[in-house]
Amino acid sequence: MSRSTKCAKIEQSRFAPIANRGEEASTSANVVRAAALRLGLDTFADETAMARAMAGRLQALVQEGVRLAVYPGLYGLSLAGPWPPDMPWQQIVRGHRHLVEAMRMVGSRAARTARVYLVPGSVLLPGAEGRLVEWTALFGPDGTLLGEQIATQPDPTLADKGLGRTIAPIDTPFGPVGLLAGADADVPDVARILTLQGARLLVAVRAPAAPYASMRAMAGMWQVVQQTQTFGLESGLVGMAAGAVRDGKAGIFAPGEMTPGDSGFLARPGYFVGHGAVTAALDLDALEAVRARRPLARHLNAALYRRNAPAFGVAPAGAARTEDASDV
Amino acid sequence: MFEEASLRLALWWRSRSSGVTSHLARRSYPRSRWTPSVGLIRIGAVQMRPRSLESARQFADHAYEMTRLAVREGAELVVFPDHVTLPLLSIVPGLATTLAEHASLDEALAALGPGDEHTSSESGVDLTDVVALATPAIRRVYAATFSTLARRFGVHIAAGSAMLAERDGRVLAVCHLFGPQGRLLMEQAKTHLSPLERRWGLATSDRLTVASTPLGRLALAGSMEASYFEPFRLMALQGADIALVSAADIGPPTPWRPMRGLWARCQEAGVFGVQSALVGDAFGLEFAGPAAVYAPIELTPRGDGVLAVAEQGDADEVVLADLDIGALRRLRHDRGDRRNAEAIGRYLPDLYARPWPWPEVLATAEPHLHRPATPIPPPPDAPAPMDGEA
Repeated sequence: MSRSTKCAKIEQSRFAPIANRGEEASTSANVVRAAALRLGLDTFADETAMARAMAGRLQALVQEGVRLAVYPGLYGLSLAGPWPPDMPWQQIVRGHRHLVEAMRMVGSRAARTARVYLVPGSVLLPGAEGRLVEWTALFGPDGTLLGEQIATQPDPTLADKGLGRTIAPIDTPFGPVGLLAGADADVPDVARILTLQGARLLVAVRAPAAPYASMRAMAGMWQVVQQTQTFGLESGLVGMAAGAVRDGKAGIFAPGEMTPGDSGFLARPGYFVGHGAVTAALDLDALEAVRARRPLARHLNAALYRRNAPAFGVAPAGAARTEDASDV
Repeated sequence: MFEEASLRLALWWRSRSSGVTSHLARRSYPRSRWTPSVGLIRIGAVQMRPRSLESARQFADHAYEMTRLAVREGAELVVFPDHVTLPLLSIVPGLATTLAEHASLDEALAALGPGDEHTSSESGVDLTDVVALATPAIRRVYAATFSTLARRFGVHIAAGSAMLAERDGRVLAVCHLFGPQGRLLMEQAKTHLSPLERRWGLATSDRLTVASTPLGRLALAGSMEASYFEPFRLMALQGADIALVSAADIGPPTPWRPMRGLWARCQEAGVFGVQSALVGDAFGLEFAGPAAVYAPIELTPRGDGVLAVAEQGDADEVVLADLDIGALRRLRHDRGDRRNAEAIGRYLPDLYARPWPWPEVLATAEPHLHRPATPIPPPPDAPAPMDGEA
C-alpha cells in the first residue's frame, strides 16, 4: 500500500489529445497514441504499491487510446524514499542495491496491469567501483521486458556517474524505439546512432536540474527530432531529486512538416509544465512519407565524416570513464 | 566553334574585372558611425532580394549598397547570402532575354535547346552546363566585386556562395571569405546540398576548414549544413567561433524553421551563427529569410539563443549584432567536451561507412543491454547482475 495519497490519484491529461497534422483524416492502422508524463517523486512502501499506482495513473490515458506511456527520469527513486533529510542522496541510493530488480518488477507489473508499452522512468543504480549509472527500460503490455538502456553520456548534474556504452534501439510492434536517459538527449550523436539503426521513435526520460527553460529544452530532444526526422517523447521529473531541484518538461515532438504551424510540437501548445500527462497520436506511415519526401539521412556526407573520423567517436584524453554493462 | 568563341569573348568583355573595379572606384566609402567596444565585434548579416541585372556593374552596385549599409552601422564582418551570383547568369549572351520571357529558371533552361540524358530538365540545357560556360566570368565579377568592397571598406566579407565549375567538370557552390586587404582568405565548397541544389546537379565537397582572422576563427557554410550536427561538430573541433551561413531557403518562412537549423547548431556546437538570406521571388523560386544572428542561449540577453533577426521578411536589410568572442570561448571552456566519445565511437564511424539505404536494424554481435524479449521472472531473492546474466 502506498504511503502517498497523491500518487494513488489518477492524473488526467491536462490537454485534449492533439495529434499529427491531418490525423483525423488518417485511416492508417499504423498509428500509436503515446503519453509523456511530468511528475514529482512519490514515496512507495514497496514495488507492488508503486506498480499499482503507476498503472492506476495510466488508466485514464489508456481509455483515451494510449498504447505507450513514459514516466520521467529518476522516477524509480520513488522506491528509495522516504529520504532522510541529512543523508547524502548517493548514500541512500547505494543502500538500495536491489533497485534494478525492483524496477524490473514494477515496470513489468505496471505495464501488464495497464496493458500498455511502458517506460517506467529511470533510476540510479550502484555500478562498478561505486559509481552510479542511470538505467531505463521498455516493457510490453504483457509485462515482457523488451529492452534496457543505461545512459551513455555524462550528466553535469550527476558528477562521477558511470556511463553505458551500448546504444541500440529496442524492437516493438511499432518499430524500433530508442531510449535516451539523462543527458543522452543533449548529445546528437546518440540519436543519430539510434536512427541509423532504424529507430523512428525516440523516448527521453529526463530529470534536468532547474533552471530548465523551454529554449534550453528545445536544444535537446526537440531539435534532435527535427534533424533525425523521428517522433520524440520527453518526460520530465519535477521537484527535489538526487541532490538537485528538477524542472523537467513533457513534450511530444515530430518533424515540423507534421505539426500545426510547423512547430515540431505534436501536442499543443508546446511543453507541458503541469502535473500529469500530455498525449498525441504518432502516425508512423505519415512519418515515413515525410522522410521519403525530404530524406535528410540519405544526404549525410559520409565521405566528409570519414575523413574526420576522430570527431565522431575517438575518446579524447581524459574523457569520462565508461561503464561496462556487466559491471552493474 | 566560332559561335562558342564569340560567346566566350562576349562573356569576357561583359565580366572584365577592370569594368567592375573602375566602376566601384567612383563610389564613396564612408567611415563607420560606430565606435567598437573592447572585446566585441560587430557583424552584419545581409538579407537581400535578387535583382534582375543587365550588367556586372549592377551586381557590384547591389553588393556595394548592402556593404555600405552594414559598414555605416559599424559592421566589421559582412555576410552575404547563398547563390548571390545567380543574377549574374544574365550576363551570358542571350540568357537574360530567355530568363525574362519565362517564369522560372527551369523553363528558361528548357527553352534553350535540346539536352541529353544527363540534363535535369526534360528537354533543354543543364544549369551546370551554363555555369561551366559562365564560370570564368562569374568568378571575375564576384572576386572583383567583393575583393574591392572588402579592401575599400576595410572589412571582412563572407561573400555568400557562387556556383563554379571545377576542372574535373563538377559544379560546386563555393563560399568565399575576403579580408580587409581584399585578399581571399578562404574558400569553402558546400558539404551538404539542398534538394534544389541536388536537382541542379551540384556536387559536394568532403573538406571543411576554418580560417583564423583577427576577428576570430571563422567557418563558412550553406544553410543545408545547418540541418546536420556533423559539419558544426567539425567546425567546433577546429576552434570555430563564428559560423557564417549563407542561406537561400525556398518556401514560406515559419518562425520555427530557423530553430531547426542554425539556432540548434549554435546550441550544440557552442558557436555564434550568422545567417544571411536571399529573399523574395526570383527565377520562379520563392526565397525566404529571415537573416539573423544566433548564439548559445547563455550568451543572449533574453536567454533565447537569438541576438538579432531581420525586421522585414522580404526586403533588403542588414541585421547587426555584437559578438563577444571572449565570452564564447569561456563558455566553451566551461562546458568542455560533454560527450562519451568511446560509446559513440563504437557505432558512428561504422554506421557512416555503410552505404545508403541504412539498414533497418543492425544486428550486433557484441553483448549489450538490448536483449531478446523474455518474460520477467519473479523478483529474485538475491541481487543479480543486470547484464551478462545467464
